[in-house]
Order: sequence, then C-alpha cells, then structure tokens
Amino acid sequence: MHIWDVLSRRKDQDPWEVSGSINAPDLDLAMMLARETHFRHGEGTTFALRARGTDAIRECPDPQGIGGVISKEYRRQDGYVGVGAKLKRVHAEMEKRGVVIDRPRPKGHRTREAAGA
Amino acid sequence: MSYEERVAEFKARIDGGEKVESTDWMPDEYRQSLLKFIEMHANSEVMGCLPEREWIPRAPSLRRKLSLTAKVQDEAGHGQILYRVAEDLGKSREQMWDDLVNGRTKFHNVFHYPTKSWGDVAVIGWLIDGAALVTQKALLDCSYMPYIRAMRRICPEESLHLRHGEDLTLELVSGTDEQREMFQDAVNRWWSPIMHFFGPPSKPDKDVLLYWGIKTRTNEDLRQEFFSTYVPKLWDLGISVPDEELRFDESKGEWIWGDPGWDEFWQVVRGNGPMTATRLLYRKTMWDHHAWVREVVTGVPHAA
Amino acid sequence: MPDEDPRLGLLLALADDELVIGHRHSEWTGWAPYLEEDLAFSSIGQDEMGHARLLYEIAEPLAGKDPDALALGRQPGEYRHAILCERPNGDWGYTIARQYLYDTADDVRLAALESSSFPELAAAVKTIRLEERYHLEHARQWFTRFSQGPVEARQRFAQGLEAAVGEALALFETLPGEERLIADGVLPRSSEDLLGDWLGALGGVLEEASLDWVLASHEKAGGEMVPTSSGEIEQGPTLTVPGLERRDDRWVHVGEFAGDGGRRGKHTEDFGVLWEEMTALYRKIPGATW
Repeated sequence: MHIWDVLSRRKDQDPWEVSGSINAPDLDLAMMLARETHFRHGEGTTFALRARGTDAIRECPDPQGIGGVISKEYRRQDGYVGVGAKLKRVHAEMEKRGVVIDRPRPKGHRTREAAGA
Repeated sequence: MSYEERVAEFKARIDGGEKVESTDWMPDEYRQSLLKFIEMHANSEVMGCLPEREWIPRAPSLRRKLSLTAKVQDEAGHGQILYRVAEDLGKSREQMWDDLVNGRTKFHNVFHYPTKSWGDVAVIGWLIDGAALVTQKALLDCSYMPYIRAMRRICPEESLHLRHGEDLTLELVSGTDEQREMFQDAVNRWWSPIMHFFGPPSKPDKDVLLYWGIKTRTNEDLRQEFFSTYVPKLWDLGISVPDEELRFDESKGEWIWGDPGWDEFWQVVRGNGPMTATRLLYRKTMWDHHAWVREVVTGVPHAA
Repeated sequence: MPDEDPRLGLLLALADDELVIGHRHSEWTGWAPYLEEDLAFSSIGQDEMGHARLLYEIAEPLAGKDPDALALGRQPGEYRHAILCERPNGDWGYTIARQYLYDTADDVRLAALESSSFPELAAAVKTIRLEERYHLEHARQWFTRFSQGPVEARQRFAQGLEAAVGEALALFETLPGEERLIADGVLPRSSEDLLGDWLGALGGVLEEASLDWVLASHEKAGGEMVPTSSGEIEQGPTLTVPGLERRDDRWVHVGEFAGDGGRRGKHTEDFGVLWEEMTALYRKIPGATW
C-alpha cells in the first residue's frame, strides 16, 4: 500500500498543487480511484499523482470526462441557484397564510458575534 | 530543551496564530487529542451515511434520487479525507475502522437516530448539516494545517448539501398539508438531538481542545450561531420548534433556550442510542464479510 | 404494446435498464467494501440514473409522460428492463461481475446506436459513451484484479459471473417491433447480431482468465440421458447456460435465454420488491413536487 499525493491545477500554466491524498497499491488503481475521490465536483480538468516521498509526477493519462459529462448540476453550486429566491417566495406565501411565527428574534437576523474566542 | 520547555514553546507558537504541519514536532497530548478528535469526526461522516442512504432507493423524483446519492457519496468522501489526515498522525485506517465497528470509538450523537420519513431527509440536509457547518467553519481556523486543508475541501461540499436540504425543506413546507406535516413532525423529533449535538454548556477553561486550538469556539457560541441562522427562517416558514422557552433576549444579546434534558445524550455517548447497535452491526458485518476485497487492494491477507 | 411506436419501446428498454441498474448500484453508496471504491461506484450508479433521465426526456413526447412519471409512475408490467438489472446486489462479487457484464454489453449496443437514424437518440448515445468509458475502465480493472487475485477474491468473482452471465444474455433479447426498428435504421444492427459480438468477445476474455467454466457451469453429472427407439440410452448434450454453445472455437448463442421477457414487461418478484420501494413515496402524494 502506498500513499499517493493527489495534485491538481486550475489552468494548464498553473503549477501542480496538492489537493488531497489517497491510499492505493499501485498507480493504475490510484488513478482510477483518485478521479472520483477528488475530482467528481469538477475541481479540475486533469490531475496527477505523486507517490509520497518521491518526486515523480504522473499525470492522468485519460482525463476526458472528469467531473461527469451529463447534467451533473445537482453536484454543483449552480444546481441550487434559485434557492435563496425560493425561500423569499415561500416566506411571503406563509405571511399571506398568516402562519409566520412571531416570537422574539435578533433584530435584522444578524448572527451573534463569536464571544471573545 | 526539556520536554516541558518544548511544550511551552509550542503552545506559545499556536497561541500566536502559527499553524502546525504533520511533520512538525508535537506534544504527546496535542497529537493524541487531535487524533481522537479527527478520528471521531471521520467516524461521524461514515456513520452519517447510514441514516440517509436508506432514502436513496425511495427518493420521490429522479433529481432527488441523484442529489441524495451524491450527498451520501460526499459524506463517505469526507470520511476518506479525514481518515487520511488522521492516518498521517499515526493510526492506520484499518485500525480506526476496526475500532469503530467494534464499538471502541465514538461518532456524533445525531447519527444514532432513525429516519422515519422524507421530512427527516430534509431536516438532516438542512438543520443537521447546518449545525455541522457551523462547527466545521470554526475548524477552518484551528491550529493544525492539514485539518484546515481538509475543511477547505469539506466546507464547500457541506454548503452544497445545505442548499439541497433547504430546497427539500421549501418544497415540503410549501407543498400539500401532508408534506408540511411531514416536515414539522421531523423537526419535532430531531430538535433535541440537534441541541445535544452542540454538547452540554462546557467550561471553556477546562476544555483541552480549546487549549490546543483544535476547537476555536465554545459549544455555547456555536449553538447560539445555529439559533440565529436557522430559527428565524423556520419561524418565517411557519414551522415551530419544540422548545416553549426559545426566544432571543435583546437585552442579553443571546438566545434563551429550554433544557432538553441530557440523560439521552449520555446514553448515546455510551453507545446506547436508538440505532447505535443496529448501525454498528451493519458496518461490522460489511467489514468482516468484505475482508476479501480489502485483501485485493491492500495485499494484506486475512484469516479465512 | 402492439400499437406502440417501436422507438418508444427501444427508448424505454434502454432507459429502464439504466434506471434499474443505476438504482441497484446506488444502493451500495455509503457502505461499499472499500471507501474510495464506494465513491467510484457511486459515480457509476449516478451516471446510469442520469442516462436514464436523458433517455426519458427523449421518450417524453412519444410517451406523453414526463421523466419522473416514466421513472416512478408506471406499473411494474410496463417497465422494459432486462431481468438481470432487477436482481438484488447480493455480495460484492456478484455486483462487480454484473457491472462488468452489463457495461461491456451496453458498450456493444451503444456503439451500434451511435449511427441510429433517430437523431436525438444518436446524439444522446454519443454523450452517454463519454461517461461509459470510465465504467469500462472500472470493470476491466476489477476483472483483472479479482481474477488474478487471491484465491477467495477469484472464487467470489467467478461465482458472481456464474450467477449473472445466464441472465446477461437477455440484455439482447429481441425488442418488440425490432423488425421495424431495423428497417427504419433506428436500430442499425439486430439484437441477435450484437449478442454475437458481445458473447464472442466475452468468451475470449473469460478463456484468457481461465474463467470460461462459468459459461458451462450448469453441467449435470453424467449429462442428460436420452432414451432412443432402439432402447439404448444415449448421452444427451451436456447442459450449459441456457442458450450457449461452443462452436468453431467461439461461444455463440443458440435458442432460448434465461431471464427473458423483460423487454415485454415480464419481471420477477425481485422487481416487485424494488418497484414498491422505489415508487411508494412518488405514488403516495400524486402531483406533489419534492
């Protein structure tokens, strides 16, 4: 069993950065598993592996399709873009229905500051 | 330098805001507290998969079938990330998993409870993940750098789950009477486990985790932030919380809340929660039964 | 079914296969045998359910029902998936064996469908194949690791293949209205043809791994005795997996399938249980949004 550091980069010109690590007995399995362990949310278009304690960087030989191809919006922030607006709409509807609960709450709903850490 | 002197120097550094790497020297107490904390966090992520995964086969639309699968997948993924951090502190994942399924180590109280309806799925996705996110954001400033890096991966995914949970909630609350009741019923059942999640009001000066900068905020602090974030929203949706006393006291600048009772909490901590034995048995059965798969991956043979 | 547009039958067969097997794969999420593999396998399950959704979207105008209504709102006898897909996951050996058989078979049919005369389907298939590449890589890696692995792994995987392969053939059961589909070029090649390709390749791979015995596994001791008119008793043909024979150094399909009928809506009790669990909440509050 080896530990492989998983490297990623946003654009082709960027240097490789460590984005996580994975246990696997060999490079092939590490490549196959690293893809879904660390890149299923579209965190990068390609990645590389480096066995911990060595210098050799091995790039993913076939990065096509990383992050999924078909309608993966449910795994991304942009799948939930309308939720804030929906909350406002539903609140307005509840007000109309007269079911909003009127108990003492912070003014302006501001979150309380952390007490002196 | 004596051991005590090294410890004092280490403490001064982290108090000054410096972060610790996995290869740095650490006091024994720091390493042990940290490992135990991260191990419990990792355990909680993988045990947290179990209540929700029951609803994947039962999701009421294709979109939710997909999003719930992805959410549970993420939780398993968080387990992977956190076990890796813990492993680098000196305990193998094999050992951690073995300890977990055999009841020797712990996982957060909220994952010891059953789910009864799709309302529970919404509550877990919104309120429980919301509670978790409050505590996890606090970890972004802890003293241990690998844990910070892990939280930088985990927190955005958790925020995604939160929006998903909020979306589920809004559909239920604005849906049929039956759907609304489903959600209200779930809130009623989950409220005290959520209060327990933040732990009893603790004594900050006796808190070892605060001392070492592993935790950065008190239990009460985190609970108050949770109230401020979620209770007004619940009330705006016409959903009540089963605590007669809960209100914000403007003069004190804090939420007043009723004591949920802590007997159940201590039972759960001791491993006697409603679903503890069942879920550990599932995990243990899977673990024992699939040793042959691990053998292929790790090359470690197991007893037949 | 007699008046049904055969294109709808084709779409439902493909979509239902993906939905049901995706449903089964996704049941492992959160408790698969190995953490990183849990993540990989969950992605595969999500991909399959995503493919189902895409295909139901194409079927919507033909069926007059939206994708959720198609996925969760039909009666059990209206689903067209192959029975292989509805079987419970069993142990990991069966699950991975089934994934291997299913995705290699899917690859053969998708390759053909890329040149379908039904443009929306051809376009969808091209995109689907981009995701299926990972499924094939996954299947091949585990095939190799298990078949060449420690004794127990090899054994459990082989048992899984043995249990699944008979019903896998029926993935290529002739579709309702297939003649018309072929005449119109919607189906560029017959199911029988595709089965021949898949089986030939599978036989070769199994032989190389010394696992071809799973294709001949139902042999009765001594073979079947067939009485003749002279009173002598001849040895009958050795029983193999129904529908399989070895001819000219290749494994070929002859005659009937095990686990057939799926394409005509005929399913087992396993699907009854699956369907109940999968559709109960959707059906409980009709018209609700979730």
